[in-house]
Amino acid sequence: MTTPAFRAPVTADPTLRRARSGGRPTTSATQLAVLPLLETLRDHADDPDLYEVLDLDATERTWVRVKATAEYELWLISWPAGASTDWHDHGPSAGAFTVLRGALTEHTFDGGLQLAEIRPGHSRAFAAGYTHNVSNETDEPALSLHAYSPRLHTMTRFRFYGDRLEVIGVERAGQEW
Amino acid sequence: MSALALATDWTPSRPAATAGLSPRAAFQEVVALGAVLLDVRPAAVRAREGEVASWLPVWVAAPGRLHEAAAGLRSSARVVVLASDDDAAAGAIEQLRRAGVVPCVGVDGGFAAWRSAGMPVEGLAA
Repeated sequence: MTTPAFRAPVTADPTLRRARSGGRPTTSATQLAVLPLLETLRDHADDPDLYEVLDLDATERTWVRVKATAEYELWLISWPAGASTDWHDHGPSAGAFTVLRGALTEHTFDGGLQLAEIRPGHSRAFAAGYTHNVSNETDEPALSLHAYSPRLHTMTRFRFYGDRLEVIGVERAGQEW
Repeated sequence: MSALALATDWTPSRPAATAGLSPRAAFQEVVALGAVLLDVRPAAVRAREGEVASWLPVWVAAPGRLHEAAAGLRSSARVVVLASDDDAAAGAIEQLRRAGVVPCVGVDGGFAAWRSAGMPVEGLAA
């Protein structure tokens, strides 16, 4: 977990105070809807080269961006047994992912904990702000392909308390990944 | 492709009654779109209710000094007003608009809703 370096002053000054200076991020206006994201995944999932890009025997989760356009980007992720993303969202991006090899488990929370298992040929798609925790709960490595639109810009990190999620930080493209 | 799942737990909600943002939508505007988060609660109220977490870029302006605050706000970024409740937010937004800060919107439910939605806070007992 990375904590941004700026701090807000905690003073009693009644006039306006500003916590930090610095540039404001901008977000691309171009964006694919969810269904085109699924089509994009389907169009790329058959590429045999995807199986050669990452080392499936790595001991940690590894990832590589395999394609980026003005509208979307594609990430390939390898998951050793037991690997987990922990709880996060994808900022203002919608997304979709599919499993190429192995199996992944997705947890979501909407007042109750939901669980879905995703196997090759299956996919999930989601709108901006969707929060989940994806893990490989099998004994074998897994490989998955992910699409985001607009391109991944920020990710919010959460802690799950069993009955609620609380924001613990934000990660940004170009800084944390 | 099967097992399609659609989720929309963060579409910016704008109830007709307040035309404000949900805490989650407000948070996303601030962290991803560069909106300015403006906490208009009096210092004593902030001390009692808790503060927005200091790792967020939050501005604080006391009531009655909003016209001064407005002078320092860039008109290009939307101002997201966090108050104790919707009435206080509406009053602050009216003041800001009179002072020329046009793109502003409140956080529905104020700080209590912000906190209960799991948005970052500090200065509170767990």
